[in-house]
Amino acid sequence: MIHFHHVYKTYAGPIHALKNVNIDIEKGDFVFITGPSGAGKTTLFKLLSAYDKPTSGKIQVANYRLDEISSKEVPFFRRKIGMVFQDFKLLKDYTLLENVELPLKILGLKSSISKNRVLEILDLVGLKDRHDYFPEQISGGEKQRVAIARALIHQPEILIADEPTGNLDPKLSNEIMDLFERINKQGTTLFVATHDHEIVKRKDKKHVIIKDGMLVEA
Amino acid sequence: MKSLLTHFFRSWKHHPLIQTGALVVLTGTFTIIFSIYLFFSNMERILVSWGSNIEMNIFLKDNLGADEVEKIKKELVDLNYFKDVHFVTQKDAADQFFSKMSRYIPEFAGEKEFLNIVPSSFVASLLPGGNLSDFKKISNKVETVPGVEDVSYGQEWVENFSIFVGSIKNIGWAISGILILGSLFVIGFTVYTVIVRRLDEIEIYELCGATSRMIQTPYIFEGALISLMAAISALVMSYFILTVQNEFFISKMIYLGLNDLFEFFGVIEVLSLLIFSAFVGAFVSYLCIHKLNTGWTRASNYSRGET
Repeated sequence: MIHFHHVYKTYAGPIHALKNVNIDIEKGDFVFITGPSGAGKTTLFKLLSAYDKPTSGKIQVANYRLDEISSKEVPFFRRKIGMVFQDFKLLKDYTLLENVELPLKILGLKSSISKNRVLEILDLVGLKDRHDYFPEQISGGEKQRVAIARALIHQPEILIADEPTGNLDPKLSNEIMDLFERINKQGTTLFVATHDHEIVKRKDKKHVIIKDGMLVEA
Repeated sequence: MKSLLTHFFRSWKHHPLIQTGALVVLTGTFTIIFSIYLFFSNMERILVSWGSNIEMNIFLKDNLGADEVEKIKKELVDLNYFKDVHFVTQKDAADQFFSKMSRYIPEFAGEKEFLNIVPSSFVASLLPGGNLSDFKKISNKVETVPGVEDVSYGQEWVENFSIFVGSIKNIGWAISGILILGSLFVIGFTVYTVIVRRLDEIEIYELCGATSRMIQTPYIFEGALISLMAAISALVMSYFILTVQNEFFISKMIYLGLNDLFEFFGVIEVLSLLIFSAFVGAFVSYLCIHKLNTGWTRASNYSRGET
């Protein structure tokens, strides 16, 4: 499902952000990645989401070779994955329903068809009653749940989350992780970057540690 | 279409100052362009209308018979340049000459030996829509007709007049061209500002798998619609300016007889201006956005220096 094979990423300087990274994540896995700031987690996520290309090495995600992908293919690859970020990345001028509906609109589904699906997934994250609220009207934890709902609405094979609980208190962080667990049980592969070692310990999932651009433990 | 309009209204709602500012500036620019275009096209029509009153005198050789005169007339008519070809006999020409000159030099009256000085001629006026700059060409052609001695139409005046009309037209085009360039910058700046303020939104669309086309289309539509709205407002303003101008000519300069000659654009011209304006708006918006969201461009900016 996700395969990194001898991946290097070097920025001008030179700054060696990733050095010889090898990862194999299979369908249905739930993997945490942890590491200190500047260790290369964000770079890894950029490569995973086709935001950047590796300097060398091979990356295969959901049957797309990301080291060779063309800019025209990138949107179609991104429709195969779901992404969740620390800063939620919600459209502030859109209601919660419209935010979650966005990937379906991009896929060309009519509102009349997609609306029920959106309400179902908002129900899953406990926000069905607030579907006509705007992001500014809800809490941080609720925003993250909306972002997760949007990442899942098009039923992606993989959900990648970059510090999804970074802005949330421990209670809300637990809620989000419980939600991820439920999603994983339904068959979605999860790859989650976090600073929160407590959660990693408690959830007892696969764990990858990155330090100075290298995987030090797997 | 519904989603494009939704995007447009959202953009208006969240960036009212930029959008209103752009609409006002564009309306002003278009009003000036349309008014200048209207003024110069009306001026050209007036000048051509004045020019169409010019007559050409076609002097004939001496001692031509009635058959030969009739043959020349037929040849002139067949040239298809003239709406009216009127024959002036030697006697009529002399009478006119004497009647005019005798007011100033009374001793001319009755001097029959002057009769032979004035030749018989045709007086011809151009068909409506005839171009002043064609006078020389027509004159050269008429001179080749057998029996024609000389052609006179106030050559120098017509040529100067023709240059004046041409200059007026060129000045109009030049000013309009400069203003059109200015309006392109205004549209471009507006769309670019909106895009820069909404880069985060574009990024989210990209993350959700939107193609460049999906992202660009609403902005191109927005540019076209703002430009179209500005063009409609500018047409209303231009009409108002024309009305004020006509009232001025009626009240202050009625003796020039210009009030009937200043006309507003026809339906086809109005439609062409609207389509052209919308096209310009769409095109400039496309130029602003087509390089902005390739995904990789944004990514490379985003990722620089971060690990």
